[in-house]
Parts: sequence; C-alpha cells; structure tokens
Amino acid sequence: MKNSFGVALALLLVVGCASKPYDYTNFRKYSPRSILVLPPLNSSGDVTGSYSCLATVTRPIAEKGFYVFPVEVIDRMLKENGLPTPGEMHQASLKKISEILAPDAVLYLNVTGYGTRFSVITSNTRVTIVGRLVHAKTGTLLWEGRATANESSSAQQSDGVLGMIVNAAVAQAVNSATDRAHDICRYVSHQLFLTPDHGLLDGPYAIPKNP
Amino acid sequence: MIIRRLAGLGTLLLLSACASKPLYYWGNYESVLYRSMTDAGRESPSRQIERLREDVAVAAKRGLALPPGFRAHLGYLYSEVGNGELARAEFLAEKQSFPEASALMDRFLAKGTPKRSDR
Repeated sequence: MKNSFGVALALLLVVGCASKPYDYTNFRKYSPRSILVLPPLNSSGDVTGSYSCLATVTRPIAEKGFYVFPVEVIDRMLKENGLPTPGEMHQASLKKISEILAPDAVLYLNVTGYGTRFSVITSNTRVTIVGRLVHAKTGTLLWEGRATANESSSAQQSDGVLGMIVNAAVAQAVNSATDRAHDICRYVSHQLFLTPDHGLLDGPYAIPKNP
Repeated sequence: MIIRRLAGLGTLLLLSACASKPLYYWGNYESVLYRSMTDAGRESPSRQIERLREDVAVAAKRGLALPPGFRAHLGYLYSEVGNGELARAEFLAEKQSFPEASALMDRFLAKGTPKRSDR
C-alpha cells in the first residue's frame, strides 16, 4: 500500500551554468575579509522566502573563512534607519554603509522561485539564489553567482487517474511545509558559495590547504 | 513514512555539503535566526538567549570557536532584555575574536543597539 504511493524524489541541481571557472581577478585584487549580507530581494512572491534564506547564508560564507556581520542585527539597524524593506536596503549608498559598518564587501542576494508549485500530478519546490559581491569602497564587482535546486515529487507508478490525484495530494502535503523550502534554501546557499571554481574564494579565516 | 524518507534524504544531502571539518560550532545559532526572522515559531528574547548560551557552553567545553556575528547577536539580545553589562561583554568578545566587527561593536558600545521594531 505504502509502496504504491512511493514518491520519487529528484533533486536536480544546476550550479552556475557554465563549466568555465569564474574569473576571480577582482576578488583576488581586493581580497575582502568581511562581508555584509543584506536581506535578500525576493522576486518569488513568497514573503517568507527572503528571510528564510537569509538565515542560511551566514554559515557557508563564514565556513569559507570570512567575517560575516550578524544578519538579523544588521536587518534591525537598517530598519531603524528608515529602510523598512530589502528593496530599500539594496538602494542604500555604499558610502553610507561603509561609514557606519566598514565592511570590505557587500553581498546582494536575490531569491526567486521560493515555495511550492503544484499541478495535478506533481508538486515542485524550487529555490534559486543569485548573489553579487561588491567591494564596499569602490563598488567594483568582486564575484557573482547563481544556484538552483529543484525538488519534485511525483508518482513512481500510478493506478489510473485516482492514483495520480492521491499521489499528488500526498506530495503537496509534504512539500507545502515552509521548513521544507527552508531546507532547500540551505542547500542552495551552500552550493552558491562553496562550489569550487564558481563559489567564493577562501577568506582570511580559512585553514590553509596543504601547500 | 514518506515525510521521514524525504527528511532523511535531505539531511544526507546537507551532510555531504559540508563534509570538511568546520571552522565553527554552529549549535542553535541558525535555528535562532530562522525562527526570529520568520514566523516559524518565534521565541522570546530570553528563550533565544538561553539557546545561545547553551552553544557558548558546548563550544567552550569542546574547545570550538563560535561563528562570526554570534557574540554580537547575543549581545544584542542581552541589551534587548535590559542587561547592558552582559551586552557589553559580548560586544567586546565579538570585537576581540573578529577585529572586522570593530566599527559596529564600537558603535553599539558607545550608542547602544537598535531597538526592536515591528516588521
């Protein structure tokens, strides 16, 4: 019985789009130590997407060896200073940000496709994060990247139309949980920052690899 | 059943994503951030402090470093519940571990932290 409802889970990852390594010339030239992560823009229409993803980005960036400013404290500060939304925060001048916080680099993120798309026979949770790292003093682009995870649940086999509908209902119940999209978000941010040749270079706190 | 299977696979993928030895002890920090910034079971500042203090204890016991921003966040919570002295100690600790935080920490030490505003 349970087997007939077997859900095939497919995580398809598209990291970057090219196999060519990122050109790190500017990254190396300015070699930032500290990164200020602004709350992500969210063009997905799901309001929790932005902050849910923000909670997952500190870890991969810090583990890469950078100082990451406390994301929630920064969010509060910016709100208190008259910037109530990520959209307005992204418009803040680098000069002002540098004066107050003195980060070496500012990371602008955009979350798209957060949440679950549902059709009769399958449901789909997809998260894409696009990131741009900018040198705070000069505005030079140091790095940019994009990562997507697409998790779809569909029936392995179906017993006619009714079977398909039941399967889809099960998949929807599983996938509609916010926490599920949050987990995928965590996975995507790891991919975005840690993928060799496309993610971030090592920061100052990284343990040096064997010479 | 299905939920458990999906969760299991998710965990496996997460583990494989961070296979090398971590620089920091992450404990409850990400979960505190997630709950506080979204509506996924918001906790009171004192409960958040409690959960972060657990991390401080475990990290000390195991000789592990706390992540960047952790002490600043804890200090922020202390100041939110009106404990200025403990807040100062955390801001100084953040600055000592990470000189990159100096500008922000000096600002908090001099002027206090931003208030919690409704979002």
